[in-house]
Amino acid sequence: MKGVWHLAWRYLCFHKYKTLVLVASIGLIVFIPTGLNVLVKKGSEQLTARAEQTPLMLGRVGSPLELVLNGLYFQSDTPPPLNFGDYLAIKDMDMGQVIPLHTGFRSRGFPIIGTRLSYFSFRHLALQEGRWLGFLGEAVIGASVAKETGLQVGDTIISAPETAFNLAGAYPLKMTIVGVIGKTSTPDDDAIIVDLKTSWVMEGLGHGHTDLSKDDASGFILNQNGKSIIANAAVNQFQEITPENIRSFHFHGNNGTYPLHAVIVIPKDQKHSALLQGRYQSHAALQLQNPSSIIGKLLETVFSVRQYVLIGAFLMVLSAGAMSVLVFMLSQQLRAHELVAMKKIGAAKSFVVGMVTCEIVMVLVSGVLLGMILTLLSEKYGLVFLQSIIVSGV
Amino acid sequence: MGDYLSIKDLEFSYPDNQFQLSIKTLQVRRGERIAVVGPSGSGKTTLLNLIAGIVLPDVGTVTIGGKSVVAMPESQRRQFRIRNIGLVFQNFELIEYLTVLENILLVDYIEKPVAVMRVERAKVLAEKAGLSGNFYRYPHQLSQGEKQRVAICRALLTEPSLLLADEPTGNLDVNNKENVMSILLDYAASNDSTLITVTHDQNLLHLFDRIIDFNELIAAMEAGER
Repeated sequence: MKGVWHLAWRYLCFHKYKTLVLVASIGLIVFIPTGLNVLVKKGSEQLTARAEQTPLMLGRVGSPLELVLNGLYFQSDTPPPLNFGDYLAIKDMDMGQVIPLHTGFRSRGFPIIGTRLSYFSFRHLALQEGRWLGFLGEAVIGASVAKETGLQVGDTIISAPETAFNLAGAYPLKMTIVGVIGKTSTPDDDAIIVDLKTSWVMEGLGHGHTDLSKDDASGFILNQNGKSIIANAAVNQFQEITPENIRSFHFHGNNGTYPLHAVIVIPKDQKHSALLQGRYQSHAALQLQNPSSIIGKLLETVFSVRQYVLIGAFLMVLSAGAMSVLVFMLSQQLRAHELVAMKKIGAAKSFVVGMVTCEIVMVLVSGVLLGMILTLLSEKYGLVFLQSIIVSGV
Repeated sequence: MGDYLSIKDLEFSYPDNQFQLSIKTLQVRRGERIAVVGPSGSGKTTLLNLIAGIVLPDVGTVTIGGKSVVAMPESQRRQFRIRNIGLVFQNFELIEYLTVLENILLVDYIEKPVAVMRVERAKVLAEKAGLSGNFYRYPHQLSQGEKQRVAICRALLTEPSLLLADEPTGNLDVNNKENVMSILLDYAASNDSTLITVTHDQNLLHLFDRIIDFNELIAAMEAGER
């Protein structure tokens, strides 16, 4: 019996490329349906988990899915902004905790989240290094941001200019990293978190510049009428907030009109949750959504699509299986001479059949093992991949 | 010395063509060296296949060492062939995915457990055949002469008492022809083995004790038909 296995093994080793292609085909045949199931299952669990941790989300009227996906995962298009005044209004209702989110900027492809310190405790985030936000212009980065960019505490990061050719638009802001968040395997790993006011500085709503009241600033003054000073275009605007210039930073206009993209709402209890949802149910400008229910609807769509994908995968599996059988059959035809010679020398028909069977068994077992390994890997590492597909595809 | 190989009243035909082979009687002594000559398609290879029990005659008997090859059950005939008959083919019939050493040991892979495989004997045979540096090379890395020497070593592994060689020098140059024939003849002489060789090469006929000419056989068959 050992001779049968030895000859089969030697055949497969000699034709290593053909063997590898067959093993890979069978591996994929196993992996595609099982891996897809695992990915969808684990992905939906993670999507649902973050949504379930976020009781309600307030945003501007528009796409509920866009609001929830942006507020939870910082993905998809930025939803239309609501006003800071809307945040203050729901806060004043005193029905629970409210956390503002500004998600309009990015740096090196990572989202910059303007929020309050309460966000860290709400998401149970822990520092791996450094400290939490203390001053305007500081940033705390997620574990993946630190890993992928190599940035550490003390380094600086610059926000991407949103309107490079618009003089009135947002200018890049250089921020100092003061902390790195420990890995959470959530979208917070990919986030750069700053104070809400820092986001508004990026918006151009707040700024710092040369002190125009000083005697040596006369060259920057266009017009002065009592305390009202109008600077000319030569005034030096700060692109970085430092201990030296932080006092010069100030905001213009009514902060109640400043933009936010979502507000996380954590009602005190079920009753307050119901009251809040009732109040915003027919609001003309705002929507208060339950992320869990929105993600549930999204997953229903994903699951219904999965059925079609599985049917497609099944057809692919059938065709790949048929191709593998064809390759085996053609191989036997090509080997007819060799197999006849073995029989002439003295091999029984059962020996030849056994040898070919051993080859098929070895390829099948290797292929199935490969498929299982791929499935296990996808279970462990495929979540972020799946999440990005689902979220970016919406 | 009695007959080692005996064929009597043998008739054979392939079911799908007109070919027919009839041999009234053929007797070969132990240790005899026989050359089989004749035109292509006259049945020389078929005769070797009939002697080896690879194909069976329609009628008649083939007896080797007193045992009827025709009467044996298939599995017994196979075992008998492995243990007593060494086969050398014109096209070598080496297994492309096995090394030289593994090709020589092929019969052991087919028949024996690994523990009793004749690895040392295979190495000695290969060394005697001038293949000592080629143990772990594959057939496609060998010359034609080397391939045939590997095929001969494979046939000699079991120390057969009957060697059947089908045009063993057909694909070889002059030097390799002499080399291959000397290996076969030396083995037959030193082991008192019977050697039956199909050949077209008239220059080799002087090496054999007897020549079976299929031209005469065909003429006899035609005379019989008339």
